[in-house]
Amino acid sequence: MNPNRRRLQLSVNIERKSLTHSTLAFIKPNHNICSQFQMPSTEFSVLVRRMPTHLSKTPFHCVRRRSYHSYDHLPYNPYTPSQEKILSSALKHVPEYGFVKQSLVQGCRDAGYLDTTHAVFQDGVFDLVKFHLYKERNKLAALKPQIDEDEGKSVGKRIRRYCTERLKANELIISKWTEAIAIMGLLQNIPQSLEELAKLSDEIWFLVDDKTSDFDWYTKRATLAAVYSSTELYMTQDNSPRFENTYDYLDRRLAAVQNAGSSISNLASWATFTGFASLNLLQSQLSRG
Amino acid sequence: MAFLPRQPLRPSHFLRLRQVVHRQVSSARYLSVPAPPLGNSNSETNLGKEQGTQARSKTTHFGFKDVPEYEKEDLVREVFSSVAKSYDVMNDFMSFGIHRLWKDHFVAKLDPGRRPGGEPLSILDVAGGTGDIAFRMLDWASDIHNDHQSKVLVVDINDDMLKEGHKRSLTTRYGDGSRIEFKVQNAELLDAVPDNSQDLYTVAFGIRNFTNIPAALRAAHRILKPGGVFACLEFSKVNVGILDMIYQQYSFNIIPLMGQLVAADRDSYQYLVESIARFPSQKEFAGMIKDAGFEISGDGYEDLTFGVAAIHTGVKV
Repeated sequence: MNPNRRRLQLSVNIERKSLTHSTLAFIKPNHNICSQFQMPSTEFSVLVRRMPTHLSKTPFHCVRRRSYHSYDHLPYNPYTPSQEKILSSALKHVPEYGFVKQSLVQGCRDAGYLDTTHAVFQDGVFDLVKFHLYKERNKLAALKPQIDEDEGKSVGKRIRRYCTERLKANELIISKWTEAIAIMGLLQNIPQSLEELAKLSDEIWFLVDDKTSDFDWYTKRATLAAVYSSTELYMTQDNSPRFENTYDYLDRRLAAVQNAGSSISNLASWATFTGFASLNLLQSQLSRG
Repeated sequence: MAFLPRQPLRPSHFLRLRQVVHRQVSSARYLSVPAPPLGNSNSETNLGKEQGTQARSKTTHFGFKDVPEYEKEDLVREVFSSVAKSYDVMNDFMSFGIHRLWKDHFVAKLDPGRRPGGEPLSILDVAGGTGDIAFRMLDWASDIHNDHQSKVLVVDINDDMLKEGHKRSLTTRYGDGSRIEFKVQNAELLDAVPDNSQDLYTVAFGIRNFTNIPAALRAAHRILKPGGVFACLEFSKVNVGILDMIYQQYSFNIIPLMGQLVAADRDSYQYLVESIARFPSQKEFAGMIKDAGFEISGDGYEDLTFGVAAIHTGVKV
């Protein structure tokens, strides 16, 4: 070390403006950043790093949801107890009034709140629809031990059982479900509706212990979502006793998907085999000279 | 050279149709003060400490300028006294009439009115001087719900705005004053409004002018019945980068100019755009509503026109 080396007195004039919550100033020892700015080398250099503003003062940072399934924590619940109370009581009025504001207002009354309380739900009736989807999706997990016992190891049978259980939850409100479909189909609501469908499909595959980690992960979820949503649509027009036709329709769709799935995988293995065989043939022909 | 005019004529000489009012609060003065960090609703953490320990030296922001807390109320009152007459005309000019759509949507969302088997509502419209929201809510209750009993109490800190509202109420079907009442009140205290007495608290384009927003939110919590809803329509942060750029250019360059041309009052409109820029973002404000004891649903807000304005709601449980 050269004892005569000039030590730079670092006087950092950070304007008050930049000293917000989003600014983090820290000293990093022996970091030779000064050479980049043609400054004399110092033992300490000061780096001012700006933290992304969305991380700094977000009031909700403590309740951010996990993007994976944790066995050690309760699942994220977006509803407060009072909101759950209001929305569950509102769902009881849906068979009578339908998916309209009237049900929501009746729910507020039943839960002991005022008529105006409904205004707190940002998406109005769509919040009621979302709550129904959320609640019924989360009920499926509790059925797992029963279904595992009844249906054994067969993935197809268990998938069918979960679909029927989920469809049964729609039986009471099926006469009004077309209204909900109309609300879900509104342009501003489509992303959230599709997300909810994807979550349902994912939940069912998760509950049948699916461990896929390749591209099949997507195709499995997409096909199940397609099967489930078309069956749900069929159910709205079904007048048969105990919705027998709907469950027959579900069986036919699942069988079709399985057939298609096996044909595709047969086709894929045939293509792979033929490809490798022709490559080997070509290789041996060329090496022969 | 003596025959030449001392100043060359510029287009602005012809555009300045009316005398521009220069009051004590000039835009030049508050632009010279360095901008404090955005989003700090009251700067007792910054300037307050620097200036000493005296209670009266607590500051708050007035546009981009920091002023002592006790002065802000008067300054805001002065701004709105000077714009009261031309308030609605200017709103139409500045927002291309969109503020009407926002207000209509706000009222439609709250859907106020007596329902079968329910009680008539008592609604408190804070900072509602000219009665814009109050008339819309009464119209909604009467026309949609056939409710001719629900009442609105309009409070404002500014007597001039209230007079304007009262004058307008005489031309409507609520002119007899049985369903609408006007009162001068400080939104942070609301001392004329009893606890747990209101079904609905609305504040449209007013809350950013309050000296102490958390105190106003606590007052709202106090006067609402359990289950009562706090609803706020306010300018907010545009959430699309490129649109935000255009919006900032528009608000800082065009709006004060319009204020000068149409209302002959550049300073007030300069204050308006600065106060909009200083108001916290949607998420931060939703957090403040939660802190005051309200419960929110989901994110607690809805963006209007890409976030130029936003509706926040909270419920007292």
